[in-house]
Amino acid sequence: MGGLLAAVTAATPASQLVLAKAMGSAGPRTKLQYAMVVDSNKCDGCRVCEDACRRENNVPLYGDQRYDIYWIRVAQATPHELPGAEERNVPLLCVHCEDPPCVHVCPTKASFVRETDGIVLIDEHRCIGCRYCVIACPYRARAITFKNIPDEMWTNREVPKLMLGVATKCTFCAHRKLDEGELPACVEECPMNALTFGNKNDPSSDVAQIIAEERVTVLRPNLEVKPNVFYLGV
Amino acid sequence: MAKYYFSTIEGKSPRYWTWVVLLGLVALGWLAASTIRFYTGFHITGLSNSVTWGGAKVIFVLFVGLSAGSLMISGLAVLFNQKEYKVLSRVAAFNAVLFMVGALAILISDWGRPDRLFLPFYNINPRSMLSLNAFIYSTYMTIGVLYLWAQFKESEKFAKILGIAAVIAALFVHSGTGFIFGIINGRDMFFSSMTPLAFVVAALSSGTALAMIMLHLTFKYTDREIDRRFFLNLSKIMLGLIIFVMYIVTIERLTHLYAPEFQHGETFIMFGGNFLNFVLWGQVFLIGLILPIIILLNPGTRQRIGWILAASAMHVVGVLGERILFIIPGQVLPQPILPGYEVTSGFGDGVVWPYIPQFVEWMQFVGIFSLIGLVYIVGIKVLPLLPVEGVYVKEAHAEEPAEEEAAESVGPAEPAAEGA
Ligand code: SF4
Ligand code: SF4
Repeated sequence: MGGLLAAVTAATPASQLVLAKAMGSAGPRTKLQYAMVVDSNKCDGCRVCEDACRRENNVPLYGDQRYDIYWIRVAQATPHELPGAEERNVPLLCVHCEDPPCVHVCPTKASFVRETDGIVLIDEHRCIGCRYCVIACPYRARAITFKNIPDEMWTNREVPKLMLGVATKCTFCAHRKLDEGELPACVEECPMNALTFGNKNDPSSDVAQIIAEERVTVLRPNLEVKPNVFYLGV
Repeated sequence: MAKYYFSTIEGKSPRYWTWVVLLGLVALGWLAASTIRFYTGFHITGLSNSVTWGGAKVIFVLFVGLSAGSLMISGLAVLFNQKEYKVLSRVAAFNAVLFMVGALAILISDWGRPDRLFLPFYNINPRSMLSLNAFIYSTYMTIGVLYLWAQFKESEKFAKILGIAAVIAALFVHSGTGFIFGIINGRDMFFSSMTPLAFVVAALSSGTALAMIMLHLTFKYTDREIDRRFFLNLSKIMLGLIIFVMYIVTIERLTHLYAPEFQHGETFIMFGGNFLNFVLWGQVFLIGLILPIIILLNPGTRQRIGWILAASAMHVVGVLGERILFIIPGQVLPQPILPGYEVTSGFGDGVVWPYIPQFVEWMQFVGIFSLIGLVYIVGIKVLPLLPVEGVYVKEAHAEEPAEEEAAESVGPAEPAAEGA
């Protein structure tokens, strides 16, 4: 049985994905690992991605910077001590670490890496709101839902509202059919095509090709958390 | 052999009941504030998505320190058979349990979902310090309660065994709590192997200080006598510990100052022109360390109980400041997500984020202290925690017969006090 399965799956990568998912098995992460390449050279800071994310995932903007939630935000970065240096726009989001500090510190295993595709997720029903993960994340990717989300902010009824008092962050739009080629909302709507998404371990995917051919970097590489969001031009 | 007779306090005076009611009301404020916070969410606190651990965490850490410090003092007194410190062995053990309960209460009421209290117990994540601490803390509490019970039963053997266990458990608790912060390698201000050590020493010194204050107050209010030599000796131990705390704090700050990556944060805490500067120089160094050291060294003041108690109180305040510096700066300072760049964004990247506790939080803070006070005064009424007379026993061997007499003469007082 196992051998047959392996034979079938080896033949067609896509079917392997479906199978691994259907079986809920711990598919080998070497086969499927979603990743994103952010090209900061192309980003013009229009913040369409922030909006797209808000609409898709009901990420609230309360109007108080203290507890506004951003799953993705576009940061303006000017190099230090380089007068006249150009400002760049750097979209920042959860980089879906392969060795994620947030998952390691979580006392309830509410934060976890989805075995099938390497996306780091939060089980909102298990999170106790201790905020240890918010402290541990080196990228400020996490937030806590500080305030109940009113119904008029619940824009996409297919995705549940964020739960009060628990941790939240980017899911790479895990509710979408990513394995069938659907893309995260931010990637889909970026007018400059600055965001590329795909399976890092499939050599034919766009991300894999960019990673192979261009000089991509990751943020805070010294921490060795193995991020899956790569940057160009930072 | 000299022996202390322990008894409950009478606790019938109007003054006693006034205190019970007052403390009870303020303690209810903690419950009310926590409930309101739970239902409305964190937006009514001063927290932000940058500073997510605030005053509640500071108090949690302070209480854990005081608890484990108390337990170690009590345990060591029993272990090394230090007769004169047995005056406080019961109270200190009781305090240990009490402060741990307080610590857990403030911790859990600070969770976003305190209703999921038991989740960490059946979803264990062995890599998470908080997950491990759930077990360390509950083991510690169990040992603490058993140890107290062994003392009530006057069972020397059990008290000794449990005393050892208690001291070891307390060590685990210290280190486990220190590691919560020490292992955060993404934040420069947190990542340090010094944290657990600094923790143990500051906990011992503040635990001693607290024990002295509480003993003095209770003895005074219950009109019992306690030998001043008891305070004099304990204050010498405390002096040594305070000097050690000062050494560690200084070393850690200086190490940070040396390394360029920490320098920015360290200078911010030291001379950034902000509230943290006051905490560091005023609260920690001046009030918490230098003044107490001077008081305890100066021949004119070190013999005076009033001064010793003042030094103790100042030191506890200083340790509170040290706990603030543990927790707050690592969050207030921006994280270097894009090193070498000046960063701004809607999410508050690259800015120093202030933290000012709001009314609900103050209610929680004041309330939790009152809860501790309330349980303490009720505790000494229902449990025989305090010696009838805190008379200092110097050399047990030489004066044995005389002491036996003294003990006997104290003896009859016990039923009287208990019956009262
Ligand atoms: S970026 Fe932060 S939230 Fe995302 S996986 Fe890494 S540590 Fe976790
Ligand atoms: S806040 Fe929730 S997800 Fe984060 S560490 Fe605590 S329990 Fe885990």
